Amino acid sequence: MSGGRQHEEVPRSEGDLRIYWDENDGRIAEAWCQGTMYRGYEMILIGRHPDDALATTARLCGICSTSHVVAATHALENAWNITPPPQAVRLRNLFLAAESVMSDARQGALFFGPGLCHESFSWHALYPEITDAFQPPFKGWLTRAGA
Amino acid sequence: MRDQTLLWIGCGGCSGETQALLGVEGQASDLLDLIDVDGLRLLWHPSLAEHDLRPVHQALTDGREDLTVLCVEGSIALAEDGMFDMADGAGKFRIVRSLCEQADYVLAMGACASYGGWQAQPPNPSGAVGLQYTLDTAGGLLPSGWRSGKGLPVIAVAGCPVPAETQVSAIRWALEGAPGGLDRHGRAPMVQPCLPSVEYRGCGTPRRIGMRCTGCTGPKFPNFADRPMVRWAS
Repeated sequence: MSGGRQHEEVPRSEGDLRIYWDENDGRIAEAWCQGTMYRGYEMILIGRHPDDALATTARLCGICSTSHVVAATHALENAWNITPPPQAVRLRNLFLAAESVMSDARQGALFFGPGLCHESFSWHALYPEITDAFQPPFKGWLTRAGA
Repeated sequence: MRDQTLLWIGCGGCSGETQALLGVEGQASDLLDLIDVDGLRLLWHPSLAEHDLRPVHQALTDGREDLTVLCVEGSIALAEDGMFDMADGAGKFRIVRSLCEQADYVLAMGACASYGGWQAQPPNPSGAVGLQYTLDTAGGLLPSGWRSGKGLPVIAVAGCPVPAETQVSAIRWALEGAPGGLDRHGRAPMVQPCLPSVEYRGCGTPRRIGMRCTGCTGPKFPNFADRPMVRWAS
């Protein structure tokens, strides 16, 4: 069958994501992804005090807030020609590392794991074990233990 | 009687309330208690759902499911017919509004859903509004006179992010019929007031996370970094 263009909103992507695809003879011929939400932080920041970027860019994302703040910090350092002291860089790296660890736990247990419970993976030897651990919504033992 | 249900929808925000609720320091046990102990059935949550929202929304529209508690996170984008926050090919604000019409209780989780948040600051590119307020002005996605199925306005649970225990206690408080009512900016009593004092913005966020207030409820201080009263870690 040639199904024409189809789409699905992607849950558990923490960000609004939609996938489009064209089917041709039961196979995916083309696929696109689209971010479906825009707030315009760049436009709001124009004309404001540069320090505001430090307080506000963190609000871009609830998961990777620190990465956005660090990016804003680098931009300000470049603009002001500042070299941060080595201890400050170490602290910053620690914050980023902590955020990565937290994100990995969240991503694995809450977002990616439940995706593996889809019936299209049922052929896999580990499928029963995976569904036990991650069955959405919030039923898998590992998801709950992680919580 | 059918079960009590909970549906959570994410709009123009950072999903910070979800992250606070699913926090790695045991906060999610509050949410699990709400599901396991209080018996609130989770209909859909963007970070926990298996599928997209369409089948659940359809079941609600057809009357096959009842919606007890609707939690909305993030501001509602109204500019250009909602093209800055889309779901199912159209502005998401339509889905949110239709869900609000079906819910017994509607809770705006966080400063963005409550008041429009930081992205509602000028020039507000996405046309962000809160559910029943836009910054400190009454009226958002819903007019100020709007009431939910149980006769309550939108319950604003402001903060950035709102701590998990505040979110859960606000839901429980709503289910008890919101005893004592809301304050003049639509907030539940467990949310500390924010607007009255410039010096101490009561959502507690600046103090808690060591940041300055981002002025999420007020348009009056567009350049808050210039104000000596609002300090780092105030």
